[in-house]
Formats: sequence, structure tokens, C-alpha cells
Amino acid sequence: MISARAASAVLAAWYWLVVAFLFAPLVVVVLFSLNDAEVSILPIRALSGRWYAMLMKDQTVLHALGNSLIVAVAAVVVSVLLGAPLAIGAHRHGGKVGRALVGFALAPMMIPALILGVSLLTLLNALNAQLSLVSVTLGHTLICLPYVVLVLDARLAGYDPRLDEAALDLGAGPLMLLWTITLPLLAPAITAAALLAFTLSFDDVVVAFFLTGRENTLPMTIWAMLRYGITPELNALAALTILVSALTALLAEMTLRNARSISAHPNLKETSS
Amino acid sequence: MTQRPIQIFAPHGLSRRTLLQAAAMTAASLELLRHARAAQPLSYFTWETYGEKPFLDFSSEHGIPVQPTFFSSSDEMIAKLKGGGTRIYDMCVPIQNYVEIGARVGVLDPMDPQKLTNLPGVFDQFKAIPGWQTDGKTFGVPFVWGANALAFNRKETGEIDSLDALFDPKFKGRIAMRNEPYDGLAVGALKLGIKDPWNMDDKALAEVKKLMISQKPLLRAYWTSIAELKNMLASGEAVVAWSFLAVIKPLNDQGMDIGWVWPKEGAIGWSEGVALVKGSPNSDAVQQYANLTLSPDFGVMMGKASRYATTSAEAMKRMDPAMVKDLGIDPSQLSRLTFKANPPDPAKWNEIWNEVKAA
Repeated sequence: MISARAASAVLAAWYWLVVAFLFAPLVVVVLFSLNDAEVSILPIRALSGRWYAMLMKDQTVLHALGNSLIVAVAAVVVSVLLGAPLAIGAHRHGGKVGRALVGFALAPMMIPALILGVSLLTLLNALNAQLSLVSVTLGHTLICLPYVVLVLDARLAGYDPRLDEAALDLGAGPLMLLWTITLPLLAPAITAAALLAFTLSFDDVVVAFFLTGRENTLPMTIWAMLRYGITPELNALAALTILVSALTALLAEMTLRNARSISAHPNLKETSS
Repeated sequence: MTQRPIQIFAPHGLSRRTLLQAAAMTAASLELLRHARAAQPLSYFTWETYGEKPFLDFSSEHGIPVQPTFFSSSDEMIAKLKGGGTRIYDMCVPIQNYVEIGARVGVLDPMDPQKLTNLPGVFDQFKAIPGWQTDGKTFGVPFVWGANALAFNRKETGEIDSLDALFDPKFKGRIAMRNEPYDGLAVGALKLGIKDPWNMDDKALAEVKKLMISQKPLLRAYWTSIAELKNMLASGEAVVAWSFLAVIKPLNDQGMDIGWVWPKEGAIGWSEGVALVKGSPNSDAVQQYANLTLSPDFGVMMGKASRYATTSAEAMKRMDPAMVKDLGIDPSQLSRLTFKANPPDPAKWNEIWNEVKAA
């Protein structure tokens, strides 16, 4: 029989192997973005920030970045405004119909982005609609919505209905209940869902390409710049994108953890046990 | 609590005068909007390079501002145009072998060659590349061109001028070949001395297939992205390769000595130009822009901004010889190029190329 120590050593090694597999490419990108040389090979010649400086002056990239931010923020707002009421409503009054609704809202998650993009384009064409950043936002809302619903639904599963009963009992109307009890309790989950939705929209290239009119988003621009290879400028852009995505994801995770520790608060526990 | 009357049209505290002012301002801003619409730039569906700042500035300075939207492959371009893109874009930039496809699927309109007044300054060869003419109509004239050809590490290989290097056992394990059916099979055809690689019969295709399979044991790798090839050449893993021009300068800037040659058996040419998107309401302006891209000034600007070669002979005359060399082209050797065209049965080419790779 293997000793517990040996087993844990093997597990630790396995863990670090997986971590390396996941993060080594990111590290390499960041490293090359700081390399002075134009060709991305080791060894690093000299450290330099010149690719970042070049990036900051690149109008094409900056404009595309602006577009991506506009779309991401709009998609987040719309998908949260649609997803939160859906999740709350389905949880509270839904029963079987509610579960079905949630399942329905999750469906776009299982559709490949390519299919989603093409079918939305077909629909918009049939309606004779102009393509623009608005249509991209529409597509991204569809991508984000399932994740918003998923995160909120998971959070609502641990939501104590007696809190609602107590509030109603103490004379709160439905709106006051929503505003003073439900939403504050859900706030961390909503924040996390919004951050997750933001990264999803910020990363998408396929749906954006099909649904955009005259504007480029950042991933579209990066994808198009790849025609003649990966330049250090692209590495710098990738490094910055990784940074933003990582910070957003970290923030989302921390918000959720914080929420879990609040709901594990002894006082609350007492009321719900 | 006293109920306040709801004032929709004049909310509380809003005087008649402020209302009138607001109305006047609205009218003024609407006028501005209309003006902005009239001066809307041409909607330009293009490769990223041609939408970079020097290109945009040049267009604006010449009175034809453009707004670029990027695609990253010719198939993407056709797909988006076919899927409603014709309502958005005024013009696009196809490669010559996608012009006919675009014309056939009905996303391009022909141009009036009379409107391209800069045409006389363009190398004659580019007025006659098949593909830009379909059914006797002109769908554009390329403003940019180049070739896929041989890159070699001069220190390791010495001078090279023949495709033989790609099949030379001396370089076993240090040869890189592009992983793409058209390039892959056409290189084989050129090596076998087939003059028109794009119209090979089954017998010729079978010979090419045999040749390319015989090349496999010599290869270091098939490259798919240009970044892979650049790294292989930079690290010395590959010393001779079927390549794009774009890898040469960055490597030589690093202190390497990478040569570039159109082999005597031939190289594969490409050309891109402005094409008019079907039904564009701005077809006059598009043709003006197409004409502008053929001007000597545009050619010089493009060479400086992007290291791409103009099709304008006039522009070439104005360039520094060192810069022309940098562009990796030799107009006097244009007859060595065979411009990529669509084989009668592209599916068969794909199939054969897959068989080569699987062999």
C-alpha cells in the first residue's frame, strides 16, 4: 500500500503539472511582450516596454478597444436586467414552468458560437435590420444570459424563503421586499455574474464578426492582425487582455467567496437552521 | 401628500423660453447629424493592414475618407458579404482567385475601367491577371502584390535559386513546407516543370502527389501559421522553406542572414485590389478610391507603411532602390510568377493534399 505521504507528493506533482500546463503559455506571452526583439524566440534579448508604447499609439487597436468596452458593458447591463428577474421569478413562483424557463435560458450555452452568429445574422437579415454594435450587443447578450442565470440560480438555491416571509409579515410590499431583502442578498452573485458576462463578451470574436456592421471589436482586430504572424505588439496586447480578464475573474471569485462567508455567518445560520 | 399634476410636455419649472431654446438646439443638432451622415466615410471591408492609420490618413487627405472593418480570411469575407454584408459595405479587398467567386455568388459589381485614370501607370502584367476579369467585365485592378517563394538561411545553405533545395537530401530534416493545398501542390507542379499548375489533369496531379510524398521524409515540419515558420527559421530548425516575404525582414533585423528568392522554376503570385460591393450606393466614390490605390503616391505610402509592393510602375520609379529590394520583388522577373487561380475541382486538390500529409 502506498503511504499517504507518497500519495500526497504524487498529487502535488500532478497539481503543479496541471498548473504549468494551464499557465505556461500565458507566462510566455507576457515574457515575449517584454522582449526587445521582434521575433518571439528564447533567449530574451533585453527587457523593453517599447511594444507597449507602440500599442498605446495604435489608433486601430485603441478604437477597437473602445468598441469592445461599449459592447461588453451594454451586454452586461442587458443580460443582468433580463437574467436577474428571470432567475428570481422562476425561483419564487416558477415551479415546473420556472425550471423549464431556466433551462430554456441556459440553452444558448450549448450552441456553438458560430451557429449562434450565423443564425442571428440570418434573423436580422430577415427583419431587414441594420448591423451595428447594437446587433453585436444583442448577440453577446445571448452569450452572457445563460451564465448570468446560472450564477444567480445557484445562489438562489441557498436562499432562505423564510427571510421573504418574515419581511412580508413585517409589512413589506413586494417591491420593498425585492429592494431591501432580495437584491442586497443577491448583490454579490449579481456582481460576479456581471463580471463573468463582461469577460465572455470581451473575448468573443465569432459572433462579433458576423453581427458587426462597420465597427471592429478588439478580438476581431487581433484575429485580423494575425494574418502575418504574431508580432510583439500582439503579445503586449494579449498580456494586457490577460491581466484585465484575470483581474475581473479574480474579482468575481472574491465577491462570491465573500458572499458565501456572509451567508455562513453564525447569526444567519441560526435563523435558517 | 398633495398630488402634483403630471406635466409631460413642460416638466415642473420649465419655462416657455427654455423649451424654445431646447427645440432650437434639437433642430441644430439634427442638422449636424444630417451633415455628418452626408460626409459618412466609405465602408471598407478589408485586411487589417490596409485599414491602418497611414492608409486612413492618406484616404482622408485625398478627400475619400474610409472606415475599415476587418476580416481575416477570404472565405470569411465571402461569407459575411453573402450573409447581408452587401447592405453594409461599399467595397472590399479580395485576392485574385476570390474575385470570380465573389462575382459568381453575386456580391460584387463590375467597375468601369474608364474611371481608373491611373491605370496607364500600372505594370501591364497586373492588368491581365486572370480572375480580375470575369465574363468579360472588370471587377478591379490590384494595387498590391507579392509572391510566396523560397526563404533560406544563407550561412547554412549558400545561395539558392532553385526549387531543388526543397527536395535536397542535403537539408534533410531542415526543410519547412507550407501546409496549404494550393501552395503545396503548385510547388510540386512548378518543380516538375508544369507551366499552368492550376489546370492540371489527373495524371499530372498524381505525379505531383508522388513527388510531394517523396519530400516528406526530408521535412522538419509543415507550417500553418507564419509565426511557426518564423520561429523555425530563427532557431535554425529550418534552413530552407516555402515562405511568405513577411518573415524575412524581422529575422534579418535580428542579425540573421535570411535570403529570399523567386526560384527559377517559378513562384506563386498573389494580388489584391479594391472591388465594388454589389449594390453600393457610393459606386462612384468607390471607383475613385480604387483609382487612388493605383496612384504613385499611394504606392509609395504603402511601401513605407507596410512593406507591401505596389502594382504602380510609376510609384516603383519614385522609390529608393533599397526600399524596392526590401519589398522582396523584382518587376523584371514578373513572368516567373504564376498567380493563384481556382482549379476546376478544388475539392480534389484538398483531398490529394490530405493524402500527401497522411502518407
